[in-house]
Amino acid sequence: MKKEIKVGFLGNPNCGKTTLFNAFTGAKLKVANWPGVTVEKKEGEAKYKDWTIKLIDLPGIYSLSSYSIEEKVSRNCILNDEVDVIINVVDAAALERNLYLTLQLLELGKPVVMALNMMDIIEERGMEIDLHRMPEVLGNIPVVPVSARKRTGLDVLLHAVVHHYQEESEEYSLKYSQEIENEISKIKSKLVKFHEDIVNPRWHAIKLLEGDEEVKEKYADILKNDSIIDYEKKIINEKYNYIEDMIQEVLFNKESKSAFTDKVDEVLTHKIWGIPIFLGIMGIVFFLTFFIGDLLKGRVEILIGWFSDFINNYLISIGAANWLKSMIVDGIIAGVGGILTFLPNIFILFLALALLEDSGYMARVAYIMDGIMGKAGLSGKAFLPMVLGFGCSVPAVMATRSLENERDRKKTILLTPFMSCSAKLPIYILFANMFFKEHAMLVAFSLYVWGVVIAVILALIIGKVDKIKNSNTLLIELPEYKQPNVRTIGIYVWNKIEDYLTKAGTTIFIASIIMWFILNFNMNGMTEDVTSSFGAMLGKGFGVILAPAGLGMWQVAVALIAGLSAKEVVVSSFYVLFGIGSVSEAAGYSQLILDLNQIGFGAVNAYSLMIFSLLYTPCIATIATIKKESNSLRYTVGVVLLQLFVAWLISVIFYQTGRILF
Amino acid sequence: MKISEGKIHVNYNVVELQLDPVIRRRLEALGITEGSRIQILNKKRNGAFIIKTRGTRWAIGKQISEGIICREEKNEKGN
Amino acid sequence: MASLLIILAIGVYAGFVIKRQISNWKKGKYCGSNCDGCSGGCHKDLNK
Repeated sequence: MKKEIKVGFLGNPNCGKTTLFNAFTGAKLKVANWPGVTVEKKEGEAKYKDWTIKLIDLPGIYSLSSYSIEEKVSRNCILNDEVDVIINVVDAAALERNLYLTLQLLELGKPVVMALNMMDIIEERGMEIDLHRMPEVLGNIPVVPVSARKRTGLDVLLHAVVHHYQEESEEYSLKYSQEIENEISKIKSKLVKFHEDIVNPRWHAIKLLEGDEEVKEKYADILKNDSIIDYEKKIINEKYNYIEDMIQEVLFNKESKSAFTDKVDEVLTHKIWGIPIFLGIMGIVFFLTFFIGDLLKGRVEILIGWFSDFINNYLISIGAANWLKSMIVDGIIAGVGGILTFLPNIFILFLALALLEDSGYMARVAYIMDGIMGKAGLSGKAFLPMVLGFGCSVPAVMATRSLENERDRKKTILLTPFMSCSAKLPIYILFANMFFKEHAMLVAFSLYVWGVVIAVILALIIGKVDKIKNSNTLLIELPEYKQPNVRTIGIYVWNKIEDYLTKAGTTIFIASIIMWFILNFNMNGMTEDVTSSFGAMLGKGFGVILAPAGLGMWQVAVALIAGLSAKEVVVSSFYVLFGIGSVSEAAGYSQLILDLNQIGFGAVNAYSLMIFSLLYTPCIATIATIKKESNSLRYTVGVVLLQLFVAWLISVIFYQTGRILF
Repeated sequence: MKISEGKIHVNYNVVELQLDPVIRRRLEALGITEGSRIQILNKKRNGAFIIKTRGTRWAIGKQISEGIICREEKNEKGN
Repeated sequence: MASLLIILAIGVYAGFVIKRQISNWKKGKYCGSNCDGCSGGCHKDLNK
């Protein structure tokens, strides 16, 4: 007989469930979707002795009602036997709230093993949990203390799963008050009578008493003749009363003074200082991205330069055709290599964002920004997808799903691309360094600030125009501050780097070849004169519109158009355009600056270019995501046009003002 | 009184949830039930609050804070 | 001769990249990253 057990991980959001899951499976997850719904299903595998343990990570949920799709998916997964054993991951530091789900899981009738996580935090706070009493009050289920962070208890947990699976377990159930138990019996017998093969009639009876929508629908015939009184509130209260009693039995030295988190929150969520502190933190993130990133960047540049020369010489030595050499060295290596030099900056950016998220600070940001978001008719929760937008717009647009209100979602989707995504960072770094030298960092930072400012202004305008009063229902858990987990962050940052390299090797690779082609060919075939190339023709056409913004040069126009495929391509296009094969800061820049000056492109133009890049249409991937999430071509086209218009308008303003002032 | 009118660091007991059923149910699933204890940790002028209930911290918006009806918890430290 | 091989290699690689991109788009994976799908919100983000 195959020794295989299917295990489902269930727990509240923020209980460390996913960190624990990752500890078992590493980054080798398989991620898919539950059939027919947009809830993701993460699967992995672990081995214990000669058992294969198939792990499924279910979404973080607070209860098993039928109010949200995550809850429905989770409970159906268990009811349909897709899981043999449940690992209930519980945050020991938030026992009271976590146990509510535990009681519900126990009622489902499948074997449950509790993984009591964050035990180290309990210790730090001077609290203690009676690990002998705990299983007893929960109907004798195994309780295994684990620390996903320190990777302790992992094998013990698997052993408990295997052991518990093999032994015959009694059907545990929390006993309610007599009144409710009577009702349960009545309904249970009816259910069994009319639906002989019903699984776990007691659970179904309880759900009917609670007025659960999904169960009511399925067993409508039971309800037909009697009207069942809604016992939902009572049942919830009785569960919580039981939990309070349990806590008395198992938790000791519950802290009465402010924990570390409360102290930190007093500062970070301060009425007045909250926002400035947030901006300050973002400023530091930025500073690190530039400063440390640039330190490493020099090394990468040297490597790429060396590689470029090497290939160049090799191609000459084998007598390769000139056009081939040009395509490879001036096209591919210039474009892709140029983009790769920014990898260190990207790495630092994502590392910083990951640290902020994992430590628990990001949730506070929703609270801090709630006031401003409110003026735009959104809740602070809308700010979180926007912060994600500093990484990449695609997941940011998708994250708007956490906003239930459709109007709020559309509004937030509109604003998210204004959050300068990481792909635009190379544009700022390149041009800020070239034209603003000592002030480079400040200039680049200013772009980020402008992005936020313009988004807020736009949101305010929309808020005024869109008269409908929006529900500003902020409800978000603020987890305890914790030391960021090295492994979690490592996996996350590595994924981002992988993505970046993949993008370089695919999208940017192709874009560079295409760019090279349109610059070196025209109607008569290959040409030495780049100003007569296809690219030049295209650029000159669009250049007319961009002229008032100081961006009328055809090279600039072409680069911007190419930027539709991926924002980084704007930079790689410049490298291909001006033939900078060796991309080191010292050598490459001075030549590039000269070339740019020759076509009339100076500091003010550079700033205008950066502004335009910040605001104009996002990359194709984002546009596609917007179309998918909004389900409306009209809306998507509207967003694209609006952004083009805003970009044009603002950069024209900047350029014309800049010209007068400087 | 509504919890939005409450003071920081005082313990309150929930009397009623005057809210949209969807939100009410969600709060109840989180343990904010009649009789449960709530403490305000942080207040902002626009009505957003940080509260602590059943050992967990929540940031809530004005709409919710104005819908939680509560009363001050008596017999605590001689109040 | 070597040139020919190089051209071929680049051509094949480019073809593979384009094919992959098209199949990704069909599946609804737009960001070009090496993931298995992002319909539940990008799983690669910590903010699940």
